Amino acid sequence: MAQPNDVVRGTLELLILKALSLEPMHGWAIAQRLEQLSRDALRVGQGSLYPALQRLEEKGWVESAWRATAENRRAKYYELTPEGRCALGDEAASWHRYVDMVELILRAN
Amino acid sequence: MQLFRVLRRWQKRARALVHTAAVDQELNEEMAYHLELETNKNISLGMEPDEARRQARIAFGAGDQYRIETREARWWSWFPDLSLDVKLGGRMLVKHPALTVIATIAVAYAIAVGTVGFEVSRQALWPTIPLPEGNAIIALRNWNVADNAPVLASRRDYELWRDGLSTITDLSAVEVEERSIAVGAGTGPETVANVTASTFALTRVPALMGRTLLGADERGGAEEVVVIGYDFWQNRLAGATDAIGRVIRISGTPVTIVGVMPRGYAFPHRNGVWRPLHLERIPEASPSLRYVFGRLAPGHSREEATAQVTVIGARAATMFPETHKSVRLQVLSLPDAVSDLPAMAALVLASVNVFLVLLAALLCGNVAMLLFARAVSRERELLVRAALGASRGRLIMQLFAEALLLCAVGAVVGLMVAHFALARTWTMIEAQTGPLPFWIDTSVSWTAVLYAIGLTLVAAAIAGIVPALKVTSGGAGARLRATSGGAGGLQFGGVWTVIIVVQIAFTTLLPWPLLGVGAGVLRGDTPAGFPAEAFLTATLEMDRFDGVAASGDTVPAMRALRLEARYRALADRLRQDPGVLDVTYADQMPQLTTTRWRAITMDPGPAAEPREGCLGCYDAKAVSVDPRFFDVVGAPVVRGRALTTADAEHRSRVVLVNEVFVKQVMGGRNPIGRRFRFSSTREPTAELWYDIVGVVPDLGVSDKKVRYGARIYQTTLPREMTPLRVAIHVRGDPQRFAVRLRELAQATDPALRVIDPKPLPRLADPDSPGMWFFFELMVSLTGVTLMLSLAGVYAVTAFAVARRTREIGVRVALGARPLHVLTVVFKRPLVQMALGIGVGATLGFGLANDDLSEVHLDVLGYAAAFALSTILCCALACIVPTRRALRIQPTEALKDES
Repeated sequence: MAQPNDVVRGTLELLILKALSLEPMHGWAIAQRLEQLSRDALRVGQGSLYPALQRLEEKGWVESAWRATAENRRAKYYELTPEGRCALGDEAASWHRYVDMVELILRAN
Repeated sequence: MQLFRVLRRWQKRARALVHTAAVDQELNEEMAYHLELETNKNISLGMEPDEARRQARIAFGAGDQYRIETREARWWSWFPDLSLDVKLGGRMLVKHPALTVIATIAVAYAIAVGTVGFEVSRQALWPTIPLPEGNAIIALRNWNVADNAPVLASRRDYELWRDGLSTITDLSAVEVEERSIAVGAGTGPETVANVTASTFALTRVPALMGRTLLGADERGGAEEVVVIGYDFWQNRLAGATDAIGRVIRISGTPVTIVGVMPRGYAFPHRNGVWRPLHLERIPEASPSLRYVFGRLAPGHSREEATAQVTVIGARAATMFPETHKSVRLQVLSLPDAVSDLPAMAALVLASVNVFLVLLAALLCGNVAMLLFARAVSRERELLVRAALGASRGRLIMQLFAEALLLCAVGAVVGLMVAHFALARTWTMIEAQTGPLPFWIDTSVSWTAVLYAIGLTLVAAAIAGIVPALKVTSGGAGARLRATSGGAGGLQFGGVWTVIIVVQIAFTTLLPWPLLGVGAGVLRGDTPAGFPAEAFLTATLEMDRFDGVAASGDTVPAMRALRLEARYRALADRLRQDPGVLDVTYADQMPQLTTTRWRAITMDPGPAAEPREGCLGCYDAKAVSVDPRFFDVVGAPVVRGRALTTADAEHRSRVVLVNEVFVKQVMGGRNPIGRRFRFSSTREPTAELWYDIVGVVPDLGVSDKKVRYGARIYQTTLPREMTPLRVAIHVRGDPQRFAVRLRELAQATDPALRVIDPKPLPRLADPDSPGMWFFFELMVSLTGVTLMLSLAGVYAVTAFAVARRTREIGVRVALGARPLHVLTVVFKRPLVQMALGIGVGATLGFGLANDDLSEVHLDVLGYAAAFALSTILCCALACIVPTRRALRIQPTEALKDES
């Protein structure tokens, strides 16, 4: 199996928004979901999730609340706000534009 | 929903700010749970528990670092650093005492004048009536649209309004008048409000002791009663606990005190006594009620009340066409009805406040320049902090915190100054406009304190953030290289150039109004021309007859006759008093110059050049005097004959003139036998000629205002004097005789009021408090701007030397002469100074151009001396940096790494 890749710098917030667009979840679950969605190809620095989540909360894109888990443990769940959902669309479009641009350059003869 | 989310977010922020430890604890809990789940996952994959925990930690990364990053991602993360910045700012204040003192004075001045301006405007334009639901009190007024003037309400008006209006309740009628009140042996004038009993229901304030007025008090045959105010109770009755039931005399009529109102209560003026208004004594149609007040009924708006009032007004016009044909009924606010202050204030205060805000901005701009100069001296420190990772925001916050601390110190000093300045300002306004409305509070309100805090934040933003943006602009690396090269990367650029030029221009401009006002103030010390210090002066007035109005005493002429009779009786008593040498009267005392100028036209005989713009016109002031006035004051006629009692009785058109008149109007020629008339066609006596029969010495004319000194003296009987002002030549201290004067007046007639008795030299021009106030304001403003100019010039020149130390060293090493070095270094500061002085002087001359001919030569001399001293001060501010520049040794300068 190939070595997992680090998250490309600056895209962690976009990935978190995408993960949270499916359902509200706590920090560890977000990290697991990202690895799962990338089929274990992406390695998220798990600790760096929390500063990113804090920044997203400050921007008003994510809300958090303490809730009980299925195992009846207390965990902080993060949820996308309507502003966050709009931001996900914008950020994703921006990312696609960037990828297309890089692709164009790489394919150039 | 979005609003709820925003509120929830701010609630979380506030919680995190207050309960930092709890929020940190939650973060730890969150991370611990994460590690626990990761460890469990590793165990489920077959790892040993210890290994599983180790791998989980590795996957998580450096926990402490993430904790720090998470905290820094919070918006309030800079708050803990703020206290550190404030501490650093405190050290900077101590380290640079000169700058601290100068900047504190400037900020304190800006805050003080800004706060005073705001508080005066607030109270004048948006007054708060200190009565329960006071702003619901309104006034009704008859307005004659034909004459464009108010008409007093009559009793039938009042009764029509009271019975017809449902949108306005507690309708009350009020008359206000001055009365002589005797309490025991002491007598003094007092403002008395004659009110209907409903007035106390209207104002909703119960009595402190006893009761307020009742409807029964207004009826004929009721006992004469009075309610007194707290100050009257304290000052005139020494706060006696048995005041209720005591008898005082109003214009000689005994009245019983039935109530004392609480402290601070006044209505509708700052009056201290309320009597029942006996409406039945007033003729039905006589326009005699000065005010009619009411309160908006619950559930009704002012618009609804106005609509109903308009209907009632139209009904009155139909019912009483002979008096109300052109009369419209209006609804006014209480402040508009009882005071001219709001209308005046709206015009004056708006412009004053704009000026004060601009002034505050200019002062803060100067403080910003000084702080910029200091920040530049710490440029390396700031750049090193930037290189070590401090963001631009952090550096700006640090400089802002320092400025905020400085401005906070200035604000505290400024508010203390504002406390005294505000009381002084109201005193000045009172001197100009008459007694202040009762709702004016002369202390600094909490609203004003909040305004001052706002000003402080703005001042700190200007003085801290503007220099900080400048200092932190550009890349840190490039700036570090520039500073290590020996020449700073920063310059006193365009913004600072504008500020210092405006500053110096302002400093140069200020002497003009200062000297104009100063000349006026100094003229206030006009010598009387006779031993005025031995004279006591006071105004005499007669109370309205205290009984049924139909007696005829309300006719002013009748009251004037009674006043003349009482004056003569009082004068006889005074002359018999061993403490009095003589007594006389006039409508104006010599030092007072409030009488308006009157243009006169001389007969066709030879005279001096008339004034420009008016064919054959001269200016003089006319004063009415007792025929014996000049003999009593010891300044008898120097040429011609004196005025006589027969002249007064026969209303002879004979006058005396003073020596300035002879010089200015007659060109030094003999005026005896010459004639003149008042030029204006609006003068009632425009066609009548007056004969000059004598010349008297100049009284109340100083050398400095000889141009304004021409006087004409007519003689008039006391009954025709408005006002009747007496001058009593006493033995000993005139002030002490004031009590005796009141006693004699009381003995002559209890209704004879003695107003404002004071020694003649203290009889000030009513304009002079305002002049003095403005003079003091201008002096302090000039002082502050001059000080800031000097500090600014010093900062610019010192900055120039510090920035160019290496360059100066190189120039000296290459053989440059000192003068050349100075020219190069100081070219920019000198150009700024010259530009500022040029702009200021040009504006000053431009503004003063119209009045230059009016300005005395010595005033021009003062102006020139001030301009020179400004230049000299600027030069002085350059001395220290100049010496520093000239002492730079090339070897040391080139070694200097800083």
